[in-house]
Amino acid sequence: MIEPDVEHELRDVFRSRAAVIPAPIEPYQELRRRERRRQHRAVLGSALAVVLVIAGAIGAGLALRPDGVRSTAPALTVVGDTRGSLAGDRALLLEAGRVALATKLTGRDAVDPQSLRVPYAEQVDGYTVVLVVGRGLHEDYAAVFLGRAPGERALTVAGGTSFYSGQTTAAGRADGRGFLDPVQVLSVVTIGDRGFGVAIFPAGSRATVSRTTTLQANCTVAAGQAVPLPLTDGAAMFPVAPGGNPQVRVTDGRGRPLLARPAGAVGGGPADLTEEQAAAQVVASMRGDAPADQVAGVAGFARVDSEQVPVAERPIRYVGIWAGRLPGRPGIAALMGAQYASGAIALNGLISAENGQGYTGWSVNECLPAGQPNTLLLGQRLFGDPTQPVIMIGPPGAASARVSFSTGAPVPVRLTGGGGLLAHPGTLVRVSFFDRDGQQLGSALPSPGPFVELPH
Amino acid sequence: MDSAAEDDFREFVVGRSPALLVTAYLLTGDHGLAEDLLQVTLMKAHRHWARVRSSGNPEAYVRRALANQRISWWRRRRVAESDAPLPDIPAGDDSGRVELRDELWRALRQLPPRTRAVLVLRYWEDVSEAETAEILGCSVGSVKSQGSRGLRRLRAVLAETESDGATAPASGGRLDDRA
Repeated sequence: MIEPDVEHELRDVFRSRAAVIPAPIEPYQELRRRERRRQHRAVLGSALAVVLVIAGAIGAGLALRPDGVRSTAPALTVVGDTRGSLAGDRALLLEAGRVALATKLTGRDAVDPQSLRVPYAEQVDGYTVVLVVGRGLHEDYAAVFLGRAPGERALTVAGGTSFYSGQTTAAGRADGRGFLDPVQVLSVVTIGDRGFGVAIFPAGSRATVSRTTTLQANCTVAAGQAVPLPLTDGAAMFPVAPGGNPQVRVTDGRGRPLLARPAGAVGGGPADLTEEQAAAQVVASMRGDAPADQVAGVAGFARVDSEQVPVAERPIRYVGIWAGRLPGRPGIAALMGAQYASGAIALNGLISAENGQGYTGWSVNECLPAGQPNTLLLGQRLFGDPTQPVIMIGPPGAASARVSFSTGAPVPVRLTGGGGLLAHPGTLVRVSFFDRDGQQLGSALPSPGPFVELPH
Repeated sequence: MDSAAEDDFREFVVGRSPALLVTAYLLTGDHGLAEDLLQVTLMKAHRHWARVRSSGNPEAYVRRALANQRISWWRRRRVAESDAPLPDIPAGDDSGRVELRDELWRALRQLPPRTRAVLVLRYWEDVSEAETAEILGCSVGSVKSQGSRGLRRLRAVLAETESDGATAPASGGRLDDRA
């Protein structure tokens, strides 16, 4: 029989704790964003290779045992599948799995120890390189570990990437299969002062790499020279020049595409702008009614976001296009661009996070051809989400817009700096822009095409 | 999912998330984990919304999924879970009772997830033993024994706190930190 006083106290504890939990802010939108982020990661394969630590942060956060202390080896289920010259070093592979668990490299989403695999172990420039993959609750994870110094076996994390395991991937595989089965990883690491791409794919895969892919003046991507990547049993490491962002294409043994995306950038080239310099360029050219301090805040992300553009070159300058206050809540939406040597400008959009901390990108999927900086006609829902405002950005001379929805009369909007934001329900059909005299400048449809046409 | 079903799902998420988040928090003891737990559970419900809706009581379905997700989650996540600091609770209570509740809360967080789920369902959700057994997929006897074990543990904490004096500093120093 339960004593009434304990029950009473327990209910009191629950009530008092429940009272301190704030109601979630816009839970549906957050759910949608979360889903989109995962889909985005699945499709793009997360080019965010986290080139973290080589020499500086050696050992930080690692729970390595001192030499001579027997460790509890994790269950590595497919040790026999390891490729690379160190594949036979079982002790090294077990140590890599143990370090992968100890580093908690996935934050709260702990990797299931039973899912750990070591698909690749190699020696590069005297450094030991080991790739570990594992399955978390939400995502599959891959991490590259390096020897702390040439010839050393003690490992430290050097890079990583993740895939949402529950979404269809670029390879078109079914729900529930991430990059673990079969293993598909493309990441970059810095070893010493040199950058390397790490490509692991099913045995029999074929790959090419292009280090000269460029964005052309008309917003198409020039393939550049694609050279075969010598995948030995589906695995390879290849040099990546500082500032480079080589395009990798992989097909399976029957020629079906498995992957086509940048490997990721390693370090920065000597001609690269600093984040501060890039931000200053963005601020200088930004139109719209967003507060200056918020524009300055968002501009700091211009350089980082340009790394998503699928070319092997780096931008030559950055531009601000338009930024405005979000209707109905604090924060701004901003459109920025990265201009390449050809003059074409790849656009990317950022919006203030709901909690006011940081920014979130929205897929703009637009590119301005060279010499046509004032021809942009953009009208779309932020995030493509019907609950989000419509953003409309036209040329600097656009004074008003008319927004058409699938039902109801078109909604007129007065523009500031050629752009505006509108909170309005309904299915967006078209945004038409007008100058001060009421002359129509053009129209934008809400469904942008692909960002750029990739070469085949 | 068609637009009507999507609208229905959105209405459910917007309307029921605050209450579901509280349940998730009581199940996990950590606000961040609770948000993750709720989001993951809702995403699963979204994928099978037609089935969830046809159950006639989507909220009960999601609460059941929350409890079970939490239990299976723990098996995977225990490596990374940490003893997150306690959030501040509203002022206005006498310090002795606050300490008592903190000690009980701490003890609750130490309970195995299944035991904790039984207590949350029984004493927060006011679900019967039979329904709790159905939700957790176990026997009524198991619910009784788990609940009894959990309350026994809490009773011991209660007795210890009262014998120490309700105003004595709590172990771990967090109450002192807040004072």
